[in-house]
Amino acid sequence: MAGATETYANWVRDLKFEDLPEGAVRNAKEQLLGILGATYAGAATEAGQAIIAAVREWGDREESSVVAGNYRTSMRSAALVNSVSAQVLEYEDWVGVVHAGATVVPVALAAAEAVAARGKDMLTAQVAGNEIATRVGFATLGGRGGGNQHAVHQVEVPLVAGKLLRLNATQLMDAVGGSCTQAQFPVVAGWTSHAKGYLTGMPAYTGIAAAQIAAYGFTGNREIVEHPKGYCFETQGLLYPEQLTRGLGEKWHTQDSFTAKPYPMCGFTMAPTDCVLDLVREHDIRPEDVEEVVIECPITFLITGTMWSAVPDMYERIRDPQGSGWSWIPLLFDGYYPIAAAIVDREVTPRQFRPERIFDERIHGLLDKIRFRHDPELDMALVAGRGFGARAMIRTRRGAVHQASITEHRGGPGNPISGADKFRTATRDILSPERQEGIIAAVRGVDEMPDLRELGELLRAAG
Amino acid sequence: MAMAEGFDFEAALNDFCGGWSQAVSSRSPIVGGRLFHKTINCQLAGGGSFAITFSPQGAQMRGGTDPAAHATLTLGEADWRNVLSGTYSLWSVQLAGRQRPILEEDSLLRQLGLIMQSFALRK
Repeated sequence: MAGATETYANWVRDLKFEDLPEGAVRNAKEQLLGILGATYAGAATEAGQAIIAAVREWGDREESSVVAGNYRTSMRSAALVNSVSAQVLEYEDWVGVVHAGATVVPVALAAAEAVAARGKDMLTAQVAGNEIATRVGFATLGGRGGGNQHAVHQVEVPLVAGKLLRLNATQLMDAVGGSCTQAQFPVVAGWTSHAKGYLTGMPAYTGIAAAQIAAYGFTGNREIVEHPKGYCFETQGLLYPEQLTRGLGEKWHTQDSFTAKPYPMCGFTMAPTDCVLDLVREHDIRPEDVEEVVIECPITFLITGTMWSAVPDMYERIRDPQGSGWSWIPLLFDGYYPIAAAIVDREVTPRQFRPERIFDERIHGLLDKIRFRHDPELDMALVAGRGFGARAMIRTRRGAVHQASITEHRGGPGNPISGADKFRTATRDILSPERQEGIIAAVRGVDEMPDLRELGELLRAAG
Repeated sequence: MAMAEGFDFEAALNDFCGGWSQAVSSRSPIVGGRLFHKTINCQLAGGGSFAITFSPQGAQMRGGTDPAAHATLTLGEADWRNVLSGTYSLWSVQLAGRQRPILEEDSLLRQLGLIMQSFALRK
């Protein structure tokens, strides 16, 4: 009986666009639009600008486009830069339990452009990557890391790239074996800095390199995914090995569980943010009217929402990035800042993570008024697969009490958002409306695109 | 054991143990089996120490340090106060660089810290 590594290689090699269910293709396009929005927004940050400039200097062979970079570079370097840009605002997505988009999309785009693949082939590789990443995620769920710390990407990246590079099954297994031998595990202590982008950028870079090298006969362990001392065990712990291949080709997670983040933030913070935005918009609540904000949430939100709360000078560190190495990134996980920003600005978008908003006095005036309460019933809903829920209560100075609740945050499978809307919001300070609509139209028709270099050219141009 | 003004370490730990007993009786999903039949020394830096043994029946706390404990958690007073009141979790203290976990103990301590925050902020 074939192991998971071999099963993945054979399945990915054989998968055709015609095999994909309509819902998976639809969501793959939504994912592509959402990740491109996140990539443009990330590319405009200091982190994005720095890595775009650095990689340009490498002078790699011109194969694939750097989004908003105005240049092409090697496919692995393009994937690195675009993946970092897609990651640094925590504005990506997840499929099943895995944040897949910020690796799968940049890798599929870069490899497809490099080999002048059809749009259908790129989408097929993208869906394959989601399906593999999701299964590795379920097999290792509850292990060492969760959320964005859940290490999986060194499995799907070489398969996505290898499929587009037309590797055979043996080469695909070797690519996975090569990619996974030097296993990477995310160090959360580094999520204060631009380097958080390496969370997906580095697996993208090394995974593509492993696929390219495997094509020349360089071998890897062909059981590395499922091996008792293999990648899953060493990174996460392989708790449910039967999940590695369960339903592969029959159940399509890209279709059934794709979740796009409507806001740049940790996924656990989205439901409370939905509630607070609903309240301030519906009741026209102004920041100066707020006496108290109480968020009832599952434990997941508490864990991440206070993860940097023991750092007393967090804002001073963020204010002095050259001195401290810190950036806006801790605030993407903070529970207090986005809630306060939502009340003041009535939106949470990339704009809220620029210095002029981060240090806004009205936002800071609200931080001490926000309280969290843990509701175990919301944990139960989460465990039962009913999604991330939350409740919010805002009490005003005049004594009015406004309450809102949500059982599944916006962007979840049962409460989807439009990828086009996300793209427009993410790029509104970056692209003209004409360019926005041009890219949206191109992505919607990507399955009819005969050569992905056309999309690369469209995405490469800055401004 | 009364500590600095406004914070009684022993009383705060006792409250936490009471929360554990309530949670196991109500089968709360937060109270996982990872801590069952484990003993953890909770130590105030420069101060007292209590050993807590967790079970499906409840949490037993006794003064002193258990040399056979599965893990030892030592924090300063401010961090104990904030962890036991739910202001932040043990993970936050670790990320702030003020608690250096031993690898074999880290998973247990993280679980304990999560439960402490949950109990303190429970609706």
